[in-house]
Amino acid sequence: MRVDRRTVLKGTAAIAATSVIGMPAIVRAQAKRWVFAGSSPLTGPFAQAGTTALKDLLDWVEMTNDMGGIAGRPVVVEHEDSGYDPAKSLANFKKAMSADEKPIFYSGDSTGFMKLVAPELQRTPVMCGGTSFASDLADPKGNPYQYIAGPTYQSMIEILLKHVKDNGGSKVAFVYSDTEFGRDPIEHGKKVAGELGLQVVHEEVTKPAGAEVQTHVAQLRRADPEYVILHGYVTGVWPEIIATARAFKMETKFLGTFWGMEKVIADAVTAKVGPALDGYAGVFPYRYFYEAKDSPSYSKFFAFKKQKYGDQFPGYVTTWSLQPMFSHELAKKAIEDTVNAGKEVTAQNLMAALDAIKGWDSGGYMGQPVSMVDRSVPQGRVYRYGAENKLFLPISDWIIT
Amino acid sequence: MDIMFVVEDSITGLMTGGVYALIAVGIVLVFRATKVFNFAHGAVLMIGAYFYYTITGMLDVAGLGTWAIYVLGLPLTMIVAALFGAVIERVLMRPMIGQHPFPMIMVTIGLISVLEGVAAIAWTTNAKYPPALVGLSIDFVGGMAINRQMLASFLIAGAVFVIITILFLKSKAGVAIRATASDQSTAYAMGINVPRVFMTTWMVAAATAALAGILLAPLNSLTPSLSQVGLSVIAVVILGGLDSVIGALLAAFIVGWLEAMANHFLGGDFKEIVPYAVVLAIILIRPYGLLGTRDVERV
Amino acid sequence: MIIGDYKASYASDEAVFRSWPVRYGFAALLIALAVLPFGASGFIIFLVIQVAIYTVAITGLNILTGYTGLISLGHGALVGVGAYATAVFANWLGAPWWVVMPMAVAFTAAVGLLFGLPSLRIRGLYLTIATLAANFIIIFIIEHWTDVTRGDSGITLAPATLFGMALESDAQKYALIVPIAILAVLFAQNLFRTRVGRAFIAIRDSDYSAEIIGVDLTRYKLIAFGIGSAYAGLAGSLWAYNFLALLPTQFELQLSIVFLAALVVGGNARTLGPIFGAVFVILIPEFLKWLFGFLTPISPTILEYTAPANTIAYGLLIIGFMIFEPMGLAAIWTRFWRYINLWPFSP
Repeated sequence: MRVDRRTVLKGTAAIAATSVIGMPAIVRAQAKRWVFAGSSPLTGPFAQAGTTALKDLLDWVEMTNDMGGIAGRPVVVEHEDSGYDPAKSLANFKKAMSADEKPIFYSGDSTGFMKLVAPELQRTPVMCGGTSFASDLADPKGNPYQYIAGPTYQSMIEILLKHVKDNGGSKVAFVYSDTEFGRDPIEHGKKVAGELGLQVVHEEVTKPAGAEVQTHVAQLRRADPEYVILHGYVTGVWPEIIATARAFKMETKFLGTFWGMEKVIADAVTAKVGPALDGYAGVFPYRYFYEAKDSPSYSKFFAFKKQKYGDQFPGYVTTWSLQPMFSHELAKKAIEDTVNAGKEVTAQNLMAALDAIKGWDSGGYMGQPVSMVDRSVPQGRVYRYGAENKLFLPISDWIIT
Repeated sequence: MDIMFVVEDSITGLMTGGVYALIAVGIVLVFRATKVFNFAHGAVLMIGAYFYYTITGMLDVAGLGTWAIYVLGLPLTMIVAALFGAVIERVLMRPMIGQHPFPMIMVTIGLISVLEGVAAIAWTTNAKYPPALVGLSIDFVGGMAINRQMLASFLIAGAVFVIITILFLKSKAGVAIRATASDQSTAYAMGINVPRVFMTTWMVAAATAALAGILLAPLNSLTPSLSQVGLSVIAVVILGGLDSVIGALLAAFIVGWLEAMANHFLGGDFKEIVPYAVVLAIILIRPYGLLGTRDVERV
Repeated sequence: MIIGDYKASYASDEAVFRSWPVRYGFAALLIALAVLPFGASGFIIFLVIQVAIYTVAITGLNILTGYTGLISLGHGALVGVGAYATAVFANWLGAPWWVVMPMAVAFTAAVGLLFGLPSLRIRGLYLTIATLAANFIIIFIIEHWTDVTRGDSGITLAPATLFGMALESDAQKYALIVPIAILAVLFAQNLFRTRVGRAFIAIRDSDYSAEIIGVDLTRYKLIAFGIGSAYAGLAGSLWAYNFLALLPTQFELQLSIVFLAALVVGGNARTLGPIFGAVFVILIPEFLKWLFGFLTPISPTILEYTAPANTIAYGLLIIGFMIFEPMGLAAIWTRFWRYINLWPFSP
C-alpha cells in the first residue's frame, strides 16, 4: 500500500473511532482502597534511578497488600512519568487530585516539584512525601503537608563537616551541581564550617549530569583541600570527579550525600577504572540492603523478592528504591495510627499523626528509633566504600542531629 | 604560578574543542548540502555511542582481545552509524526535498524525542560503561597536567577532521557536495545525483558523530541524555558560520577555550553561558559567523 | 459558501469572521467554553487553562515567526520574563492583577525589543540561533539575580482577586484567564487587517522587496518583536496567576522548542494555528499517557518501555505532520470543511 497523507489520515481516524467505541466501561473497584499517587522520572537524566525505584515500590506495595494492606485496605499505586520536569509533575498531581478516586498520599520526584506544588496543597491538601531532602521542606508551618523521609540536606552536610572535624581535617571544598538540589545546603554548610573552625578553600559548580570534569578537578587540585564534599548528583559526575582526581594523584578524601552513594554505580565505575572510589565516604540515613540481617523489614522484602523473581533477583535493592520505600513506610504508619485512633483519614489528621511519631521502630530501615522533628527524621551514619569487598560499610555510629 | 594554571586550563579547553570540531563538522556538512540545520545531531551521536557499546560487547563475548576494539570495533561502529544516517536521510529527509527548510528542521527536532525513546527501550536507561580507547591517566609535562584520554580524543578527532576536509575539497563526492550546496537545480542539470549527495553527507555526519560519541561516552557514563551535547555544539556551528568547515574548526577551539576560561575565572555556572554570550556578540558584528558565506539574495 | 475566496466588497475582505460557519462556530465555541467550568473536573479545567495560556504564547510566536518570518527559539524565556515580572511586581507593589499584568506585558515587550535588535542585522538561521542564545542568557539572569527573582528556590505570588474574591480554584482561575486569552487571539486576528499586519507579511515574503516598496524594515521588524514579546509577556503573566509558584527551569529551551513545534503542527500564519497547536502539545501527551495506560496497566516488568514509547509516539507525530501535512492542522481543518461543503463532489 502506498503510504501518503490520505491513508495516514484515514488510519488515524479509524484508530480514534475504535478507541472510542471499543473502550469498555471503567471497572470500578468494589472494595475501598488507598490510592498512592505520584510522579517518577521514567525518562530524562534520572531515568535509571526513577525506573528502578518505581519497580521496587510496586513490589513493596504488592508485598504490603499480600500482608493485608494498610489498616485492612489494599493499596494501589498510580505513578506517571515526569521526565524530571517539575511542571509535568505538577500536571500529574492535578490529574491525580481531580480523579474520582482521590489519592491519600502523593509522592513528588524533585525539589522543584515540592516548591511548585506548595500553593496547590493549600487548596487541595494531601499528604505529600517525595525524593527531596530540601531543607525548606522541613517546615510544618510554611509547608503543612510535606515531609522528608530522612535528614535534610543541611543536616547531612553538618554530619559530614563534623566527621571532617573529628578526623582532624581543616581544609574542605564543596563541589555541587548547578541545580536547586545542589545549591540547597551550601550556604548553611559554609556557616557550619566557620563555626567548627574549618576553612572552606574552594567551591566548584558543575552540570548535574554529563559534565566534563577535567577543568573542575584541576581547580580542586590547586585549592588542595583535605576533604571534598560532593552534593547534588545521582548517577553521574561524582564518580568521574573522584576517578579523575585519583588520576591526578590527589590524596584528597571525598565525601558525599545520600543520592550520590549508590553501590551499583560505584561497582560499575570500579569495574571500569579500578579502585579509584576506595575510601569514598558519605552520610546515609538508612541501612544498605545487604545489612538485611539487622533489619526485619529488609528481610521480609528480600523473601518476597526471592519468591517472586527466584534467581533473577540479585539479592540487592538500590538506595534509590529504599528512599521511596521508607517514605511510604512513614505514610503507612501515619494512616494506621490515624485509623487506629478512630479519626477520619484527612490530610490534616495524617500530618498530625506523622508529627506524633516518636520513638517508632522502623523495622531496621534506620538504626535508632524514628522520631519526626519538624517534618524530617534527623539521623544517619557515615558509610565508607571499599573497592575490594564492593560494599559501603558504616564507619560511625548512628548520629542524631 | 597563576599563569601556569591558566595555560593548563587553556590546553584542556582546546582539547575539548577538538571533539567539538568533530561534532560540528557533521552539522556543517549536512547544512551545506541540504540547507537543514540538524538539531538531532546530538541524538545521532548518542545512538552511535550505543552502537559502539553493543559492538564492543559482542567482540568481548567473541573472546577477542582489546586489539579488536581498535581494529574491528571502531570501523564497524562507524559503518553501522553511517548506514543509520542513510536510513534517516532516505526515510525522513528524502520525501521533503525541495520544501522550505523550516518543516525539515522541525523533523529533526521530532527525531530527538524518537531517538532518545528508542535508546531507552533498546538499551534501557541504566548507565552503560563502554570501553575507553585510552585508559584514564594523567601525565605531568613541565608541571602541567595532560589527560591522556583527552589528548588521544583530540588527536583522533583532529585526524578525522583533516581527512574529511581533504576529501571535501579534493574528492569527486566532495565536489558534488559543494556543487549542490552552491546551486541545487544547476547541480541537477549538470548530472549530479543530488539525492545521493544528500545521503552521502548524512552518512558522513552520522559516522563522525558516532566517533565523537565513542570519544565522549567513556569520559562519563553512557545514557540517552548524552544527546544533550548537541546543544553545546550549536554555539560552535553558528560562531564558525553555518556552512564553513574551517570556520567550525576555528570556532570549536574558541568555544572550548572560552568554556575552560569561564570555569577558571567565573566558576562552573558560567561555563555554558559565556560561549553563548560571546557568540551573540560576535554575530552582531559578523552576521554570518566568522567564515560563513554571505547569502546573496536577488529580488 | 465557505470555499471560494470570492469577495464582493472591501468590507468582506476585511471581515473578522469571514463566513457563516466561522461565525457560528465561534459562537458555539464561546458557549462551550462558558459552560465548561460547571461540568468538567478540575484536571480538565486545568488543561483548558494550559491550552489558553499556550495559545496566547504561540499566537505571539505566530506574529513573529508565522507572519513576519523571524524564527525565534527564545520565546519560552520571554514567557518566563513575563511570569517573573508579574510575580516580582505583584510582590513589590502589592497591586491587583489589572495593574501588574499590563506592567509585566510592557516590561516583556521592552526585553523582547532589546533581543530583537539583532534582527536588524542578522537573518535566517543565524537569527534563530541568536534568539536561542538569548534564551540561555535570560534564564541565566533569572537563575542568578537571586535578590529579585529568588533564583532557583522559586518565587511565589498571591492569587489574583476578582470582585473581592481570591482566584484559587481551577474554575476561578479559568474565569480570568480564558476570556483574556480569547481577547488576545481576536486582537491578533484583527492585527492582520491593518497596515502593520500587512507590512509584517511583506517582510516575511521578502524583506528586501518590502523595503523597496516602502516598508520601513527597522521599524516593522522591531514592532513585530515588540508585539510578539508582549504576547509572551501576557502568557507569562497568566502563567504566574495560574501556578502561583515559579521556577526558572520551567522556561528553559525545551519550552521554546515546544512552542515552535506547536506552531508548525498547528499551522503557521493562520489564526487557528496556535489554537490547534496548543491543543496538540497539551492534550496529545495526556492522550498518549491514557492510551498506553489503557493498553498496559502499570506493572514492574513493562514500566521501562511505556514511558519511552510515549516519547517516541510524540516525536513520530511531529515528524508525521511535517512530512505529510507541513501546513499543519489548520490546513486539514480547512480541507475538511471544503470537503463537507462540496460533498458529494470531490474537492
